[in-house]
Amino acid sequence: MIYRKLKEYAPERLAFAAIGIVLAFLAALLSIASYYMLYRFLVKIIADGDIRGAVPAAFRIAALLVANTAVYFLSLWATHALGFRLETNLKKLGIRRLMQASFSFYDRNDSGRIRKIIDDNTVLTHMSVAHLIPDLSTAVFVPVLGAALAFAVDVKLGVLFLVTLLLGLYFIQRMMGDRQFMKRYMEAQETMNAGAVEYVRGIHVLKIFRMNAESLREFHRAVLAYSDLALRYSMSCRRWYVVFQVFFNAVYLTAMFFYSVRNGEPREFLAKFMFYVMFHGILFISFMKVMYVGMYLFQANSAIGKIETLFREMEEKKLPRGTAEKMDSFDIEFRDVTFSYGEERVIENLSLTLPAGRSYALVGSSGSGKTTLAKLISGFYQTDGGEIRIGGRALSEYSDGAFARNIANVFQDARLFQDTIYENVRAGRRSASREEVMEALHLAQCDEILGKFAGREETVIGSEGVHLSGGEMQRITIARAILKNAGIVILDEASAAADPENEYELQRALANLMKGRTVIMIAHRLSSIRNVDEILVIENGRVAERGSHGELMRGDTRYRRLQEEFMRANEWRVRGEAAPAAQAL
Amino acid sequence: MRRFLKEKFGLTDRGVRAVELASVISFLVNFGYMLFMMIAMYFGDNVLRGEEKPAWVYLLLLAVTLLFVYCVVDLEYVRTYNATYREASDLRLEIADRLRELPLSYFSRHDLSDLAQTIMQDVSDIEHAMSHAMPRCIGYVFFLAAVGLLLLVSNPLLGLATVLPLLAGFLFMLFSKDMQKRWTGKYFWKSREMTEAFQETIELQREIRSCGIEEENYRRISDMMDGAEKLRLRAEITQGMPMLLSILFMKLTLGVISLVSAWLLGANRIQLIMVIGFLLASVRLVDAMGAMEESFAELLYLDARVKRLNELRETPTQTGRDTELGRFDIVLKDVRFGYEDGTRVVDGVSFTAGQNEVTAIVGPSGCGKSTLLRLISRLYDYGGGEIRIDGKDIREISTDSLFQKVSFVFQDVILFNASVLDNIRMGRADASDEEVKRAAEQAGCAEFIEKLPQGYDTLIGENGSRLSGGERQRISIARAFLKNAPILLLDEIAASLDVENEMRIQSALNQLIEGKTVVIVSHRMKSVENADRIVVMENGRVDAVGTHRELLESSALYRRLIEKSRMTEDFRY
Repeated sequence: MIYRKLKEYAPERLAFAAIGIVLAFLAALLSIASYYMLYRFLVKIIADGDIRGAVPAAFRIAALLVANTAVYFLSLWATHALGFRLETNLKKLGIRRLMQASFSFYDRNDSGRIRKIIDDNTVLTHMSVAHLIPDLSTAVFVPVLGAALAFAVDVKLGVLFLVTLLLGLYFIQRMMGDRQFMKRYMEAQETMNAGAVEYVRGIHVLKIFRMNAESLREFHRAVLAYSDLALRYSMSCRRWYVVFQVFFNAVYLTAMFFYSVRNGEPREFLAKFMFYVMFHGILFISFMKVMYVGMYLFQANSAIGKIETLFREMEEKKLPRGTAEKMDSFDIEFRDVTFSYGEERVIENLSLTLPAGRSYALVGSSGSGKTTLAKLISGFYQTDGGEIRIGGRALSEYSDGAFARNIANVFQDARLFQDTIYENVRAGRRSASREEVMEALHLAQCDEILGKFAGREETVIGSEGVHLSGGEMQRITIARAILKNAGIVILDEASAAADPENEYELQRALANLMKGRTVIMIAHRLSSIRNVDEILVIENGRVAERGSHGELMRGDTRYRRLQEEFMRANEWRVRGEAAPAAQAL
Repeated sequence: MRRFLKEKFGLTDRGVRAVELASVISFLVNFGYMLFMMIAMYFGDNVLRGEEKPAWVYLLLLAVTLLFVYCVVDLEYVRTYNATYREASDLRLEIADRLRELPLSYFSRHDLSDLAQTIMQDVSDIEHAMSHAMPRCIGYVFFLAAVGLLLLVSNPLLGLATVLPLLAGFLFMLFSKDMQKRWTGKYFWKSREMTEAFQETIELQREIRSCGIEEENYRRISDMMDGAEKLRLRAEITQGMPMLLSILFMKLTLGVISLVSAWLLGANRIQLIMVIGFLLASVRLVDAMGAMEESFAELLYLDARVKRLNELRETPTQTGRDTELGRFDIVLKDVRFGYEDGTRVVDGVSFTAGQNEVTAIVGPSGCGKSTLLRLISRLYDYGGGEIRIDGKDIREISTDSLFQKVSFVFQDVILFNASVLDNIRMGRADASDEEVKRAAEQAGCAEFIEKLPQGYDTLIGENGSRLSGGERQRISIARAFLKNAPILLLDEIAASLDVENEMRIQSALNQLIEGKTVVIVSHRMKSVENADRIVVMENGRVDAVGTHRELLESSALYRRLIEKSRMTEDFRY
């Protein structure tokens, strides 16, 4: 399993795994050899009384131990080289996949969470792979070679060694406790962590309402439940843990009783016995490695599993793309389009044409589907039925590049790269000349922003002392969109997040962006859309009304009601009388 | 010893006592294991002297020792785990309560979700160390000292041969930590750079794609990662060196003893059984050390976690006396404040917000409006000047007494994953269900709550994810209705809501503010025209104070704000 993954994600370093295993084997061999020398040493001093003969054995013990340590270290180094590469490759793959992931993936997942999953789990893979290979080798080679040595010294000791090994493994297996427990334990931990995040995020509210951890019942319960579960799990392992410890530290004394059935020289037996007492400890290290291996395997598998699950989620609802690079015209057409977020159907059998070169405003209450419409036109989501066409071609026929060049989006939350203002704008069209970039900045009402900084357009966003308000950042993204010179402009609440005293400049910047293009806009400020060519009132994913402001204000229309409500909310005052009727219309 | 444990491992008093006890038991466990070796020695001695003992002698010895060791190991297990998990939940709750008492400035210096996760993880690490590493290491160190002393006394030369390599191994382990620290520091920046690159790719993916610069972005990050990998491999080797030496020395113990004892035997300066005894003891010590290696490492690296925990404990909490407040005029005099040292967000602000009056604060974004509300509520402690309520400096009023009298409705509503009922009840913990429901009705929530699958008992998901923005805001207003505190602070509560929700909230609001000291921050100039007092702010200073009419006369800034808002309203695309 792990091997297959290694082959998939770090093929170029697969040899390092082999090197790691071979070196670990060599290290085990050296270690066992040092014990063999210890045995020789004991025979010399106890049985033979040949002290001079014991000296070379003592030197060899020391030399073999040094060699063992060095080789084991090399083995670790090889597997670390492999582990690091694996981590790097997984991270790179992560970046690549992130840039190709479907938009609905980003809707469903919080950015911090995505980053954390990739970050934490790639690190975990490297750690577990780096330690897994040498540990696994040690866990296997040391007992096998050790048994061989024990048999070589004395058959009875060999048998005892094997029995100890098997019984020890059995105890360890019992000691692992209930697997079901492990799952519940992880769940309890997750609930607790979620509670902690919630707690910290809402700390100001908790302060004001004088709530403590105890009164936040869910969190308090989660903390106690987690500890309780962990304790119960520990207690379920108690008996076998204790039995294992006592068994392991006493079992070698059994060899003492071999003495009574001996038929040899007592001193020779004593040498063997003492050797065994000193030797059998290596099994303990192997047992520990067995446990670590179990843990690392579990970690590596779950880490890679989590990353792969994330990658799969990125692929879900991914959009088919074609090869058409150019949009011949910017007529937009919905043909019988159906779309849903998960279970919830947002748009059903919608057909609609929006001829090019005009401006359209989508209005309606939140949840009516107007934002979804705008996103569908931008090619963010795959429709569940029907098709959307631009310039006579289905969206799926266009390449990513065609979307990037022909559609400019301005969203509510403007985001800039950590680069200079100039480069941020130039990202809209890399081939643009300096004059063009500066002209775009000018049209987007950014001159005043540039004037605030000594570095003007070379000011780096996010560097010290460079603070831009939401509305100012938005104007820079508008400059980028202007530079792009796309045929279709889609504005989704583009001025909603602006600071009020900047909103007017923002409006003017947007007006410049809209000039001469096909525009789809969603504006929270209903007063501002009166002059657009056509207004579409969206209700439950359908176009309820359509027409110019003048047309729609005649008669008892939904649009008229929306405008009136807007006016009333706008005219409201703290400590005011009932809001005045909307006469200004 | 206790102080050392407490500081070094960040434990509570109860936890420290538990670790002490566990360490003693752990020492006994080590001693018990040694007893088995002693039986082997006894056997060896008999053989060497040619004295044969009947098997039952050994059996009896073995049986008694087994019983003793079984009991001690079992006791160690039960004691340790019971203490550990109680300590873990104690620590978590202690931290949670501690966090609540800190001024918000502590949180603005830390990434919120990271903070919560780290703390939970830190406690888990301490918990693990407590159940495994702490008692065993402490027990082992004392055991090593005791056995080492015994060995040194019985044969100084061989004793040194046993103790010195072990000690050297130990020292190198400590040294490896310094080494690791140095390299981790170097790597830390790289790793943070990469984390930021990831975050940027995720957050800006819309922009990256709409600009078609995917390849460029990939190449940049990919290069960065290759560089980081090289650095890390180098670091791994360098910082591995002391560790390598440490293991080497420990393992060498056996070799050194063999050599020294061969020499001593040759010179006839030692008895054979003594040599065997030393070999057995050193094997036991080295094996135990090997088994302990990870535990030692675990303790060495616990530092950073404990440091974070202790830092949290040492951050001063907000102090003050419990005070009964009678009147609720808020008087600000020359108030100064900055989120970081050296910056001034509020710079010498003075005004009075009277009881039963509405005071509005207006001004360009970043002028310090919202900050003022946080200062008045003592979410942050102001730096200079004074804020008085009922004539008393609020820094001398305990937060508990103050918060009792203050309601704060934030622009960003925070809801908890609990029932709707519990979420509103936060306003006043002892409110009856009926009172909660009445507050919900007053805030215009009743209608949508009744439509939820389980009505008031519906769990609303993490941070109320099942509710819309407008619904969330109405719940937070219901909290304020329920609390009915004499001071009401409103911070841009209707920003980013749609028209329908805004209207609902507006109609609830005029009822809510009745008879209270109200301070409202609003970006909509028109909505606060009727306020009793309007404070116009710019760059952390008060530009002017007055009624709408007065300000139209006296403040150019106010006129400009009004004009701007009129231009925005009249704008047509």
